[in-house]
Amino acid sequence: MHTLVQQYLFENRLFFRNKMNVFWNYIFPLFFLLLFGSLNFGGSIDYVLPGIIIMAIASSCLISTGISFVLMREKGYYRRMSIVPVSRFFLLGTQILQRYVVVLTQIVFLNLVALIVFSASPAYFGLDVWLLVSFGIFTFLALGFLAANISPNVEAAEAFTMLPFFTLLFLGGAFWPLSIMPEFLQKFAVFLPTPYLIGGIQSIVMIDASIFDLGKNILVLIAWGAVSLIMAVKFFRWE
Amino acid sequence: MTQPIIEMKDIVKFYGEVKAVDHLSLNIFHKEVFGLLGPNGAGKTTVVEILEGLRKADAGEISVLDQPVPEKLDRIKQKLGVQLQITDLPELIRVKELLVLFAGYYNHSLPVAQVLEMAGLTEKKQVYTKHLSGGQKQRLALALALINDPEILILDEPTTGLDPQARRNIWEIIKNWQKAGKTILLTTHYMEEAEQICDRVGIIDRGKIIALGTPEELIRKQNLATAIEFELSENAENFDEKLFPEIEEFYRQGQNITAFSREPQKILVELVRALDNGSLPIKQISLRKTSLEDVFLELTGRKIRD
Repeated sequence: MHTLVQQYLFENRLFFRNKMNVFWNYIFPLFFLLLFGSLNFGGSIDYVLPGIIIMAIASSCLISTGISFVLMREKGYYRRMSIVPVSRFFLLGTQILQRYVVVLTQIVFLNLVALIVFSASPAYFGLDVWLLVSFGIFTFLALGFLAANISPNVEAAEAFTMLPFFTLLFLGGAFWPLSIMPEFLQKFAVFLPTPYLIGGIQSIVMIDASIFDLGKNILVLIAWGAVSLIMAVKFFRWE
Repeated sequence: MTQPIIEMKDIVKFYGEVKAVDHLSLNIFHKEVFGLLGPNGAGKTTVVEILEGLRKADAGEISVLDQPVPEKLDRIKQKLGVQLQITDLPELIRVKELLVLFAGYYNHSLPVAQVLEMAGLTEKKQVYTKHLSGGQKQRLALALALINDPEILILDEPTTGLDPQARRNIWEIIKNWQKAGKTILLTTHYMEEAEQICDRVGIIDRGKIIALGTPEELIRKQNLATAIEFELSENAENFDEKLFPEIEEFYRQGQNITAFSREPQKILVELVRALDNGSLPIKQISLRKTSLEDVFLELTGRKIRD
């Protein structure tokens, strides 16, 4: 337990002492929230906020986690860790736990600002949103580790995380409704996890759906997460 | 020095077609500082990385602390302290935080304050690792290797790239660790380092141990000639080497003469006699001890840094 706490603190310190992490995980999504909230795009903040939440998740889990994993791998940190008598999967697990908590704090922060500034629904703080968002975090973390494991170096990791980031957000309806996109893109979007996460949150907040009504959404998220995770494990390397 | 604490039998390791370790056998004993000495690419790092479990040997048997490697590595790791050749530690973490973290990985560890003191880093304990000098970073890597009070310390080129003072600091830490009853295996391509701190040295070349023994033994075994250098107060052209039958080889340069002999003491006596009777105007004499560098040159026909 002591080791877990120390490892968690270590990951947390490394994360928050890097000012770029604070920027990409808190300031950057906040900027989008204020921008999209002010534009009143779609008529209601509750229509826009799920997209911003997904952007925050993707930025943290996919870009930030993916790149930092490759950076640590390149610097030989995981190699050094392989000669201490703890499982490297313990180290990886702690890193995932730390990221999960960071993303949750990030979402609470965004929801609070949205509530105070734009009178967003208090339902964003409910158990159903938290559960659905947790599935989303799992999916995007798995994608982040997959991107890290197929990247030979940091430069490649930037490309392998940015490409799915923009594809999933822009084609997945994070910034505009899917209905305004050309039909072939709409057909393509059906296969992405993003519309199911965004649509799920919107249903909970706007039509009072419960997590039990969102079986299909959760299944798609799990499927994406599981396939990414299996592939990430297949391509996995410590050095 | 009775029971080997590290035993390697007939180790072979290939990288593709290249044989990096070639049927290498080696025993390392309790409480000794053992130096694996050789040029870059000789196979030193591969050998220690096989011991640490970072690489798998293609053939051979290894035991560390009477436990087979890699089967019992988890148990061995508790008593092993390792400094890798290159470790880029995370930059935004404080020295003390890193030591506390590492201490938590082991069943038994030394107090962090004691390790900081041993590594001379007490004053730097609150500093981010990115603000440490090269020598301090190296001492921190060493401190991380010492934190679990290891029975065996494996150091891969612990002083490469350091200035002489920083190098001496590391030597002192290693010597003190040996005094505490521990065993140290280090790799180096610095002859001076091997001569200064190692009880025994294995010279490795192309994946094979080509000589093994104490530095003095290795030098004596090769029975190399000693260099006697002397300066005359006149041009050395008139120097008649036939008056000194023990000289095996010599060079003149201006007023200086360098002579080689396996019986330097006899030559010294003759030189002093010649000075005394005025037959040779000698200004100064010096003897250069044969070093491991000469041994390596003799064994391989190459200089160690070629």
